[in-house]
Amino acid sequence: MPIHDVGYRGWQGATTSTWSRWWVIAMAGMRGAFKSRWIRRMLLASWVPTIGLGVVFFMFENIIMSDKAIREWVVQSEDISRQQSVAQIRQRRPMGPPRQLLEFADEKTQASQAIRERFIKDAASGAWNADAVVAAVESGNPNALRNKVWCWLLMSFLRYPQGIMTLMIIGLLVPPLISRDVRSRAFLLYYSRPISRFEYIMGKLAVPAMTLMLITLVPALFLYFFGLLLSPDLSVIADTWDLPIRITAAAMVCVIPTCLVALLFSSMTQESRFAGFAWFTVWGLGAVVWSLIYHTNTTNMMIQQRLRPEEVHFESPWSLVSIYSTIGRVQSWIFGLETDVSNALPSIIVLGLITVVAFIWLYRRVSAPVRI
Amino acid sequence: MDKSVPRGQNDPVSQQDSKAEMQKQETDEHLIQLDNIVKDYRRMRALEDVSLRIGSGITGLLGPNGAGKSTLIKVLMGLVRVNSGSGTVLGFQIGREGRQIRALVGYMPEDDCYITGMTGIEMVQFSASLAGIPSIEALRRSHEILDFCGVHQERYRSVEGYSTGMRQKIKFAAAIVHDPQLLILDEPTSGLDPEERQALLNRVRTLCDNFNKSALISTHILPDVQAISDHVVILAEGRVRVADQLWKLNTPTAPQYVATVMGDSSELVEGLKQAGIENELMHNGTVLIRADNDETFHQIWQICEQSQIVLSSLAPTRNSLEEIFMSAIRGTNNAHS
Repeated sequence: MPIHDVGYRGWQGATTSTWSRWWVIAMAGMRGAFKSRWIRRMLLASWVPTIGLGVVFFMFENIIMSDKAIREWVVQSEDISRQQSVAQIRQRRPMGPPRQLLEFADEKTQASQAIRERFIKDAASGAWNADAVVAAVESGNPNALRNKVWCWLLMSFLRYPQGIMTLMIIGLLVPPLISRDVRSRAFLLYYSRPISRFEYIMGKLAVPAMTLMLITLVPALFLYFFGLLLSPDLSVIADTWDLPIRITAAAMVCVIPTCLVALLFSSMTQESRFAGFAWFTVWGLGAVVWSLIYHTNTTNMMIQQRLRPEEVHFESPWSLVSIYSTIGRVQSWIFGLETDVSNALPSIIVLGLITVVAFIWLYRRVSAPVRI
Repeated sequence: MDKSVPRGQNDPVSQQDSKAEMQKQETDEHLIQLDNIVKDYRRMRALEDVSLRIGSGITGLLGPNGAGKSTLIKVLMGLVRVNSGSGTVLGFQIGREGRQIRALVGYMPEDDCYITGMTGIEMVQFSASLAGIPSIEALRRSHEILDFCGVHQERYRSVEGYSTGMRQKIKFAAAIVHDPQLLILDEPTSGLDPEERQALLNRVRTLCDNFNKSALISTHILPDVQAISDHVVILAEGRVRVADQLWKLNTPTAPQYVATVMGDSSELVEGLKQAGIENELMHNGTVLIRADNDETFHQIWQICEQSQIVLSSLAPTRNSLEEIFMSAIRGTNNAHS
């Protein structure tokens, strides 16, 4: 017998806003997700690369700084355009700064330039979308270089460690989200409340979306602000102001289509393991097919045209079979590493189509139990 | 996100509450009004020209399998669109104002449905939150309702481990946690033992008698309807066959009485025949007598006195719900199901 049984009583309290009901579903889903020890472990593990990349940001900023500080010191003392190199200053103004100072500056600048180029080229060699970075190095404009390097680092961060973690976490988290509701016929409990099917989808979508943002958007923004704080040069703000927008857009490009596709798989079965299997198969199969096509063709090109690996450049519409590759291409366009929009356009269209079709199909799937 | 707003201000559902109150007064006799509702599922017609007026109180919705009861409930909840026809529930248009209807209706589904991974108290709290009750208040209210429903420490166990009866209780608690005006209960007593069945019916009766709620109970268990319903609607093949107050349906068209005799009934039967009174000897030994005026009663007493027959009872007959039901669905394909 309860110690405070008051029987039935009416309720006349204030209700929450109608438009926040999806949040109730999202919060319930998040609580359920965080009960899983594996999800918690993977979320923690996904922050490890952030630490490593933080060190890279620190190194890069200090190399850039050593060059720019000397350049600005010389330029300020001579009031000469910042665009001119130390050699140009010496050539134009032979009566300028003391020779020893100029020699010292020149020596330091050349050294830092060499280190910088070595660092960037080493990092970029063989890496995807490094062309834009190498071009920025060759342009000699440190401001453009900083923006491109930061973009490239963040893009690599989102694409490689976080991309793999995204795949794994979605594969663990999303399959049970709707399939369990299908199995336990929970739809009627949801739909008998004042919420729509769209809000149901929004609530379910928010669970993986928020989780993925914790491993993509949040650490990338953290890295950005960490980089700002570590940089001894205030010009970093002017050079990289656009990056938070690019990071947000790139994270959304990854989060929304992947979560919708995974939710669609989840809605198609009562068994979450089937949904998980479908998820990993679609990603894995697409990546394997594209990888086979790429390596077969590049190997042929190397043999037939006698090219070195770094000279081979292979493009094919078959890359669209891999969701991973398609997302990566759109992200590289967002980060400005792919400057030709026509190269990214097919990927943008395919990703848009995947998103729209997955949403419509998902909507029909979650409506089905009510229509019967 | 848990921001609370007073009812009747920013919340569109709440804004409609006052409207609902006014319209409820206007349509107090008819909480549910349906006019010529037709609903097709592709080639199959689920509801055919359904017109209904359901008033306050408890209404039993009866019908054989496939009669269209579940479809009718979905139409009332605004979950499916009708092909033609119109109607209102609590003053709100079905189809267009489904959200407002669902805010004021508590629905207990027939299916064994639950939310995986939640305990009983979490599931009821979740239902309350979905209905717009702020989370802390939802928790308090859920405990209160679970006490009312007789769910004690089991509320802290996962719903997946519950027995069928316990799940029924949790579903009922989830249906009433937001204090709805109208309860739509689909097979509420299935899977319950007799004691729990009676307790649940008593709870429904309490809500309707003491808290001004109304209920529409869809069930196959006729004694449940007989026990608590004020009105009965019988559906068959998607059409409304019977819709009336239960006491009217129970009253036979011609007044009949059942006579129970101590000893042999044949003497009474013979005497009545000789007096020209229509009667029938039933298999249990009672005699069914048609008596529509005082003169007939006078004749019955005389026969008993003359033949030394001891009448132990003479009571008016009532149409049983089973007879009403069978009569209503007779001749339909559903009658064979």
